[in-house]
Amino acid sequence: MPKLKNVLSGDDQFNFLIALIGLIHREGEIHITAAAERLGMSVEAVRKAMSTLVVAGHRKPSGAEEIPFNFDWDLFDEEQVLRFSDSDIILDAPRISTRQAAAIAAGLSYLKSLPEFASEADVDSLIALLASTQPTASPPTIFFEVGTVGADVGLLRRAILAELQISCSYTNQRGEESVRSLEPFRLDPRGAVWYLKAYCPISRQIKSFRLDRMRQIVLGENPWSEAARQAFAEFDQEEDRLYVPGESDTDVIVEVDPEAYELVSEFTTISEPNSSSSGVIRVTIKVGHLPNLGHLIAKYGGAARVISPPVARELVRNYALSALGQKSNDFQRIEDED
Amino acid sequence: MTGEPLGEGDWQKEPDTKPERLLSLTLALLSNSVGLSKEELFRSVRGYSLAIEDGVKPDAINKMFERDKQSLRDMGVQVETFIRDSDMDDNTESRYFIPAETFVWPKGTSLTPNQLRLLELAAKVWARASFSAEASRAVMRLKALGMASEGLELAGFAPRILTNEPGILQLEEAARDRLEVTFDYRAPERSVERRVVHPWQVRHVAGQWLLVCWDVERQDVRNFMLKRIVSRIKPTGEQFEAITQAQLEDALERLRLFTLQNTAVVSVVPGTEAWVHFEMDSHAHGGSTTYEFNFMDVHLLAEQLRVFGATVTVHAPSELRDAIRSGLEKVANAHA
Repeated sequence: MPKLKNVLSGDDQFNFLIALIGLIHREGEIHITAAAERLGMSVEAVRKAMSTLVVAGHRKPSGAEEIPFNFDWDLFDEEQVLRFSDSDIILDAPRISTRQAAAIAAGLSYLKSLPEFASEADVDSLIALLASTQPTASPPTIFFEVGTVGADVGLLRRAILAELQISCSYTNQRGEESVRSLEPFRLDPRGAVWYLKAYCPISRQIKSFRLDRMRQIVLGENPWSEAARQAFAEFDQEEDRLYVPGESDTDVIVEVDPEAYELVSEFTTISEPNSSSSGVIRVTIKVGHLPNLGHLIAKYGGAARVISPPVARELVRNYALSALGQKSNDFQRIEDED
Repeated sequence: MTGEPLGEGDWQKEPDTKPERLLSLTLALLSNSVGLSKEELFRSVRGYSLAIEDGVKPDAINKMFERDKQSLRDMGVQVETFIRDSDMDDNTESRYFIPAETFVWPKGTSLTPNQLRLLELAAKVWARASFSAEASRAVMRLKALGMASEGLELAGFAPRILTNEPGILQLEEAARDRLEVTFDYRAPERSVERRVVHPWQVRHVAGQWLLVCWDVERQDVRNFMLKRIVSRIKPTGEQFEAITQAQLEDALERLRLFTLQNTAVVSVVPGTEAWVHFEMDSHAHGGSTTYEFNFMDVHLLAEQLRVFGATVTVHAPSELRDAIRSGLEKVANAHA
């Protein structure tokens, strides 16, 4: 995935500058380390920003040079504390843009749809605050509508926070129901579908389980096992993809129309199609268990096609034929919990 | 937010002086009550005056200024223009300024640690999806308004919004700027059609991103599924009037009523994945294997039901049965 987290664009640097100005004005004075922490930047980045601030000036029409920002350098040298001295211009924290506000408001409306936050009064007050600062009273341009969520979410959250094992009945895709013991680690709501990331003692790895296949969840008394703790410690928290690639994965080349882009979005960056004919893209995806391809591909009703390997094409064809009742139900489906 | 502080030297990786120029431009426009003409601006902001001294062509400087204005706007700084009364007759040169009252937050705006925690989480739900850059920038700015928060990280919970539709940013921008746009739309079982619309809102409903909009040719409200847009989204150059909350509510109410008109009746084989799925969706069925529910879009529902293969039987409507069947036939043929 393209990640430019170590390079700030000019726009991002400007955004940081005005955030820093606002912070210093609000606080009066603030230690450089505290300022860096508050804004999620390095101390070095704050230093660089300071040097940009003190040269950012402009000339008045009269010709006089005006440099609005200067720091109390004695204070800075002695205590590394930032304080503006004799600034002409009182610049409180500047407002954010309509788009920034819209992005945050949509994120908040999504949070509000989750049971954990449904009763958080602060979510509503923040949405109201963001709306109140916008120039027009038009409705939000992006919105996440509240959906329904299974009732077991609260129980799973408790298990995660208390670091306890759970047991549940899990129905796999062949309709086989079994009682499982799992060590839950993280809830991953993805759009309308909820997954539980948990350590599975049988396969001895972290896997994703769909909440809508879990029933009769019971909070156990046993704490997480050592093996689970170790697996969690090694897990990259920033990794938020559902699919954790495995060594035995098969590479499958698929061709998708825009209607089926979601199938490949974890594997590639998608840009806008130029036209309806150029929107078809070919991507290699990793599949842990090939028989899962049947329903994954058939779902899109032709908008996703397997190119290779031939065995995968065959599986998809057999799935479709059997769903049509034209072939006996001899295809194998195994749970897709990873 | 990446959470990882930026290291040494990162500030310099972009050699241009854009951040400094943007700041100078902001300060010049803020501190001048009568505004500045473009010519005055170019003289007073060092980024421009240096470029002029370096022999950069006026055309290029103008373009730089236009881009800078857009950048400022993206960061929430509103540059406005007016024409001085005394200039009306002979000289219609625009003067630029930033109204101070739109620049800063209203007095007394501040955030509690809990509010900051929620804002950070709200930004994080975008993860790698569209709007993640905007959301992260917003959070950095909002942090200046709040008190320091500590240890409020949400453990064991990673909600994410998914966007697989590349056009979502552009449609939101068009909605914000009230720009009429055109795109090719492929409704299922129909050929591609060019649509001309006034985008009102990009909305996530029932697992799908929809564009709620006014269809200019149909002269009516329409909802388009973003994943069925199969071309670039192009502005036509026309602008439309701002809509009211009531207009949007009307459109959404129509969508709700439409969904209520669509009822599906299916039965599932007990003990299968489909059976578990439907029991989760409708708690009140107590062991029955026949389910009745409302749906928004027949082809979207067909997509969801194809996953269950032959373990689901559709009793009504026939369009749903046909959609599932024809999709499966296409799959079988495409993999022959």
